Amino acid sequence: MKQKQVDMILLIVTIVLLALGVIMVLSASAPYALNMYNDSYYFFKDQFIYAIVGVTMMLIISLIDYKIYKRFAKVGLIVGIILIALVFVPGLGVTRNQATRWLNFGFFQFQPSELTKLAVILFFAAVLSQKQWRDKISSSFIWFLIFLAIPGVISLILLKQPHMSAAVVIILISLSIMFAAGTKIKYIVSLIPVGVAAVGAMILMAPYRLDRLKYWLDPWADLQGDGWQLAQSLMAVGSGGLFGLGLGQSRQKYMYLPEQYNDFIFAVWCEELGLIGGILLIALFAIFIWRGIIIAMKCKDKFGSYMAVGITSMIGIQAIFNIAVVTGTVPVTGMSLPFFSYGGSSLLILLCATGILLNISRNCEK
Amino acid sequence: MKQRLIIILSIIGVLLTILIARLFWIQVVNGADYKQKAYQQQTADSLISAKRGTIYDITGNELAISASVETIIVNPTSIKGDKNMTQQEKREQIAKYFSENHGLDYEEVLKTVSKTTQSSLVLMKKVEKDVTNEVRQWINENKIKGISIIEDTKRYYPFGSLASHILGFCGTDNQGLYGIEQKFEKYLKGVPGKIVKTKDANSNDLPIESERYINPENGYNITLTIDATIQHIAENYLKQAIEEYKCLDGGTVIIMRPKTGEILAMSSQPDYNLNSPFTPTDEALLENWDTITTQERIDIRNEMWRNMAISKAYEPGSTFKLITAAMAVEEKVVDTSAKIYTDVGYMSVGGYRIKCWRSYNPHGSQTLAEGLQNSCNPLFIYVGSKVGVTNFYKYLRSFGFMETTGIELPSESGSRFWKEKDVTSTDLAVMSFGQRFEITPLQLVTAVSAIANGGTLMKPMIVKSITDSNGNIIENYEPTAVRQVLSKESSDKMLEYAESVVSIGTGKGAQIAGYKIGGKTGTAEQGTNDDNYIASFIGIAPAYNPEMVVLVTLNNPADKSRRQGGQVGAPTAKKIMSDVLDYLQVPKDYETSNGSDTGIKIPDVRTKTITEATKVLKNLGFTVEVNFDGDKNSTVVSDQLPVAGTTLKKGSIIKLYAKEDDVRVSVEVPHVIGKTAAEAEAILKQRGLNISLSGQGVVVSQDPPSGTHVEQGTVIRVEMDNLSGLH
Repeated sequence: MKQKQVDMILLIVTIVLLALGVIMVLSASAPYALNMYNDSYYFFKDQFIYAIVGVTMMLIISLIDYKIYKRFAKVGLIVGIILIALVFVPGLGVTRNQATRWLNFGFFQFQPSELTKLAVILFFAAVLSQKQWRDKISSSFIWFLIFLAIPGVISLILLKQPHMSAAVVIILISLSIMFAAGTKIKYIVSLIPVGVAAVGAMILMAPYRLDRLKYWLDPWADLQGDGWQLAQSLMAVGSGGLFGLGLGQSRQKYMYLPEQYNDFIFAVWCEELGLIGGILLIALFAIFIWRGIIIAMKCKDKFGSYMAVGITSMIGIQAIFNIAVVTGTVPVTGMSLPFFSYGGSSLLILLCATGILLNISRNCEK
Repeated sequence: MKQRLIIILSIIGVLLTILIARLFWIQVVNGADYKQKAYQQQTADSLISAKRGTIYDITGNELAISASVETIIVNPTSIKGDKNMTQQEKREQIAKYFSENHGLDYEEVLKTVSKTTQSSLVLMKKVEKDVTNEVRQWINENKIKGISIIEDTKRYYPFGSLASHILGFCGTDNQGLYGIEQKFEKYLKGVPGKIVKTKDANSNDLPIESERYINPENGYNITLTIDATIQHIAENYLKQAIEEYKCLDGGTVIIMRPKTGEILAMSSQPDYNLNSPFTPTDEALLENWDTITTQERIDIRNEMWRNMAISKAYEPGSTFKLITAAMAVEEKVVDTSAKIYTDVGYMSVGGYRIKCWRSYNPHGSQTLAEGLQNSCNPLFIYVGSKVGVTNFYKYLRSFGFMETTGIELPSESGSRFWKEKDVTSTDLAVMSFGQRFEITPLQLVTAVSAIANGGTLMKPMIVKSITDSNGNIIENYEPTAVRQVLSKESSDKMLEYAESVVSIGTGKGAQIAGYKIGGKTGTAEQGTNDDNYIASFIGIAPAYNPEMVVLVTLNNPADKSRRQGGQVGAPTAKKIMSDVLDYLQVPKDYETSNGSDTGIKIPDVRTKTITEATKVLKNLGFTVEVNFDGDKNSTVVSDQLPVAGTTLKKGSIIKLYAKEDDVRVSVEVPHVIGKTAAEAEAILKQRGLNISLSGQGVVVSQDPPSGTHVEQGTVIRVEMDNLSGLH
């Protein structure tokens, strides 16, 4: 059977985002790479190879019928949970910056939470594509909560790593799919006080989080300490002005910005390309999200629809969070920018997920 | 479901819009503010010191120059460990290096480099380039981070102690502390320039061509009216006299050109070495230096730095009789052609019996001229009473004794006189022969110059001109006439009297073959019952066409039998005047019968080693004094005084000067075209060269070109241009 056409706009936007992302990794990482490894291209080379491999995988996956994943939904979820728990096994887990988020397979390290996100999407899409479960979450608050318990348990494990941003993303993805599947809006709204209480509890458990909050509101109060990241980020973004300092001309990337080729890569982007560049990038993500939701709308079956919603919201939520952190709109949390931030496993999984999204688009009403 | 998806899309749309608004807020509304903050942390100014102006004598000799040196600074937080060493080991390595090779204290250095402050701290201040080049090499070899070397300047006085009280010296930050250095600070210091470099968070330079720089403006040069050779002559004979006559409180010499008021030489002894102004010159003091208190040291230094010629008022004694006589001549209160007074050895005034210095053999009946020749006190008491208090004070004012002269030197002091309304006849009597009031040596020289130049009081001049580093004149000082004090006739008459003092009177000791010299001796008690005298002589040479007025004061000669102005002051002034007349090639008044006393022309020995030069000069019959402690066989003479071409008598002292570090090093000029200002500066500094920048951007041309061999310290001019396409 001849395959139908993929959503070309989505494909092009993805490639453009990826290309810009790889260029930006080069610009943002070069000083650090030169300083640490005496090779300006150290991170770029890595990211470039992952991008080539990732695009190839994306194109291959876009040819594989997404429906076959449905049968792996339960196994996938279990594997996803096991993987994030495996980081606590001595010898397997890798700790960086006091967080144990990585698994070490000798030649290659990866962050299992990326895969778990996809497993959660698959599970929710598969289960909610069945009418009886859909009816349960749209009529019973208890069932809504039972379903929410799945990302809840995963989040608890992730918080242990700790990896709060992944936990937040997984909960929000689950809620998005449930929302699309027809759960009552009031159920979701009723979670708000719970969320506030949870934040309160977390602050009580670890008072350093309150300081984080304080320095989010006034990063200059402790410029050399907790305020450093945000202050440097704001100085970078602000320095960009309307048109930016020019590609490659960031100053803040010279050891001022932390994670300048990772969580704060958007700050370098804004410093070099200004408000114009910032709007351009946000617009590209907007197009991506728009196409993702259109695919969800036009998909002929529920499973495909929910998969599309899940994948789109995963990318959308991360992009929005990352930009919000970089601009100081929300407190600092370690969230990477999809297709931009340096990191092989994350990039591969994002591109694989986009490959699934592209395949779903083949099954759309034209 | 479609509706719900639209809701999701809308929520995301709203969120993305909020983020765009937020970006607009940060980048456009507050952009400049953040940019400013970022700029502040990203840039570091490095100062380029302005070269302090040179001080020249009237003939162009450099009396004070600025040598280019460097300061080594450390930024402790930038010291980083590497593969082979921890940060602590690096710190210890630095401390070890500086303690073993540069004489610093190990613990002190370790303490400095272990500090956690962000700022730069000085490790070694103002060191010569050969030292910093060693440090540079060590930094490169050992890959040391955090230590940098910045340009600095150091004041250097080629003639050591010459004119020390006039020149003054500078503090550690090159700020003038005394003398001309202090008075003309704002002209000399210049304006430092700076290079604004972009730095990363570890304070390393960034490869971004965005640096700005502001060229330093070099300080203005100052040319004094002082002539180094005349100064040298004056100082030598003054020192000799102080030693010979055992003057316990030193002495002063001032030489003024009466027509213009220019100071040709001014010296107070003891003096001090300008290159080490904090070290006392007195060896006895130096030995006990460690045992005395800080306050005592301060007092000793202040005394040593004091320019007595302008800041120590004294009782002039009989030299002042010239002034009293001038008043009488100008006011015509006595008959200058007649015997006006008969001395009986004393005079009673207001119940006091005031004796003449030769009361054992009274002078008898004298004219005014004879009274001056004999320095007869009673005659001057009589003359003073004829002048009267009102006129006496009128002339004190018009001769400038009631105000400071306004010379361009700091800390000039004024005089001390009784209030005019309180003056009794006894007071006037003693004032008439120069006692019981205090004036400065400079005031007396200035007043006598007015007598000598036809009657005009000139403002003393020490600075001739101020020029910028390109030689353009910023300010030119012209002779300033303050007022006419005497008529030309009175002046001529006074010169005649003064000449007779030397030819037949008490000033015979100042006679110089071939010239008619005028003058007056003075021997003055200081205070009322103290056995402390100042012996002095004021000379006018040549008497009828005065080129100079010379005042020599010898303070507190220890030998009671040798403390008369005529005994000690006149011969000292004679030696000075004689050499200066020769040096200035003043035409002789008459041919001397004795032709053998002609001088010898001093050769230029500045390219010879000290040993050779000494030999040459000794063979010619000169006495040689060497101002240098190092190896005399290999070191070349850098300066000599008097300068070559001066004609001096046999036995005259020639001083030779040399610089310790005068080993001239030739270096190859590196290629700096295409570099940024900071890079070019760094490259040139590495070779010990200096930079002068013009324009902005990157270097497009350099002069001299790369490959040329020049002396270290040479200024390389580079032109910059913005080649925007080259980035």
